[in-house]
Amino acid sequence: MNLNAVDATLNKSQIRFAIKSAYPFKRFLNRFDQNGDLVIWYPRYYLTVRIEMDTYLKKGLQYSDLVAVDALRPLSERVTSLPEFSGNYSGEGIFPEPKISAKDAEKEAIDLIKGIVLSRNKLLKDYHIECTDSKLVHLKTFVVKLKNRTAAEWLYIDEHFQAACAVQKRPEILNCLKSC
Amino acid sequence: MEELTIGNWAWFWLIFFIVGTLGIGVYAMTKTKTDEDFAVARKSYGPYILILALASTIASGSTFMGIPGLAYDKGFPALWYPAIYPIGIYLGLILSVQLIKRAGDTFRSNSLPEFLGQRFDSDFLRVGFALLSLLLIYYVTAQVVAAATAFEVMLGVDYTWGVIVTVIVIGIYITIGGSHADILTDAFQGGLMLLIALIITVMFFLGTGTEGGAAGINTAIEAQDSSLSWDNYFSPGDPIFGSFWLVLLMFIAHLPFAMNPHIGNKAFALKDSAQLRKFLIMAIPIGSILGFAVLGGLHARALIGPDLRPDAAIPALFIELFPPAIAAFLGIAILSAIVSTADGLFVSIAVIFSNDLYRKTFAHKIHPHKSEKKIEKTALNISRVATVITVFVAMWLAWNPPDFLAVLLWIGVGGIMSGAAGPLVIGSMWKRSTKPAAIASFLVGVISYASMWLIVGWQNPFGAAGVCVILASIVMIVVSLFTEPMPEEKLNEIFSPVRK
Repeated sequence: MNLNAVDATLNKSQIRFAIKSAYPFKRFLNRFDQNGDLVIWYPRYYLTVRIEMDTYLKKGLQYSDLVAVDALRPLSERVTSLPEFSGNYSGEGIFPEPKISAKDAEKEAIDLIKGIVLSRNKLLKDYHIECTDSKLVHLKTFVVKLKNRTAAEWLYIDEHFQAACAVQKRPEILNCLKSC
Repeated sequence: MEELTIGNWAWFWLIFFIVGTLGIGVYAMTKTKTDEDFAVARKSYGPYILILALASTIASGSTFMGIPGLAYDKGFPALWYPAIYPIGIYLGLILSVQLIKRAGDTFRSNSLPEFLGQRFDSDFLRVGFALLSLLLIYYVTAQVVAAATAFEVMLGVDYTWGVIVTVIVIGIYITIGGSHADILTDAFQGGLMLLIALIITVMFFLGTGTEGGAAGINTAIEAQDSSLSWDNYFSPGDPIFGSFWLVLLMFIAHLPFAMNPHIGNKAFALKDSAQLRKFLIMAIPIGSILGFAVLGGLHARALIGPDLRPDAAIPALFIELFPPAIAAFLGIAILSAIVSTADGLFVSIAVIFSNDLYRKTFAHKIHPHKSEKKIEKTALNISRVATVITVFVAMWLAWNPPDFLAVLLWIGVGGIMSGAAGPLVIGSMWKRSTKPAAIASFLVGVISYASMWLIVGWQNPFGAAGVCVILASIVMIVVSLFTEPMPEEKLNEIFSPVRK
């Protein structure tokens, strides 16, 4: 399989953190026994956006920015760098199909930067924003199965963003599990 | 050589402040030559910088003048205010900011009124909250009054000239463009204010100028009026600090404070949602330290006596305790508090006109053939004109100010919070909230607050806002339970968005 894959590892402290985040009150009363895990290769677009702008103080400002667009959820954010790819990768795990095309991701990235440029520059005169590069990246994330719990109660751990929650809070992951 | 007076030093530091602020602006702009990004200020939106920017926005002229003025006038019972309000404000922020940040990112909300409209799928709520937010003009006015009072006391200029000088200073400040400039100046001012609040606190506990530390201050105040001493937990008969219940109302009133458009929008600026936890953990202690500035009001009462105008307590304390050069420099902290808040307010008011009213509501009706790009350009021009008009309206309102800044400020803020409590705070936490309930709660909050002022004539803005926040919250919950829940699909869009 040919794709931009970004590796990650899962350890016990991450699972403990995930339980704490997902079940802050229940964890004292219930023991959560792990029952294996699943790998989800989470799709994200990384786009390089070029901005040209004139302000009343300075003309011809140019620079590039990097935006990550979630391919499963309507979320995008500015990031400082591209994640490190592990090159062409063939491996086990679930590969959710991106729900948007690269073109749509471009539009969202431009929209995000436009909103920030407009709201933060009081002396803005003119601007032009375009997308110059786009990459679809698959980030390795994990679903930790819990014994005697439904799939919705399992844990979802995204090491790249230090995020952990119950799967029911991430319906797009739950959909992936159901369709497997 | 003749010794320089405090007025000379104050002018010196004022010029230093203006030149310094402009310098930061120009320095920030030169960063665009490199890979550093001008428009969005990469690497500058971490939780530390942002918490200082947030603290400087929340701490206004009222923090260093109006609230210490209350303590100066009402003695130790006024300490309830700094003990209560940071907890109320930041608890409200913690309860609702996560959803607002996530959903705001999803919907690209440029303002809280826009977010509110999206949350409940309601144009009425967006336009209503936007129009209500115009009451922020009183907030701006309070900042101008605070600055002019500081100029009057410290520079010795006539109050009306103080208003004019203030408007010019704010005018210079808000024309500094660029994200780096905006963030750096706000964070710099936040740091400066934190330092000054700490100095005021340390001075109070050391009892500088009196004997016996804080107990010495209490003794001096007790000698003037025994009802002001620390043996009195409340001031019986006082409309603000009269009883436990009034203090409780004050706490409730502050819960939705962070929903003011110029404060809540800071959440949209955070670079990464993962930083939200650190941001919130730091928010309460930093905010609380700024609240300690109130101790300066008690200190001034002990040292100077009862004849000052209350709002002038802190400037007068500085003059009393410090050599002219340092006292005048401390005045700059007040100016920092004022301009950092005024800046955010001007932007918020401008966004109400350009985004919430023009771009989102009327643009497609009055300019149906204009391209999106042209509409955005018009919106940008509208925001500039709105900023200038706001400056002049604030100047006009500040010409004849009332006694207490905190009260003036709350004429606007209380109305906004009464309206926001149900739809924004409860609506952010409770999925079951419905659109009719949000509209009913908004209307009840606003109308009841206006009635408290105009018909009942209750002279306690915190109490009035507290009662209205409770009323609006009850209406939100009861009407939600009796009306059709919002479609599951819409709720998922807000609380756990997925692409179709």
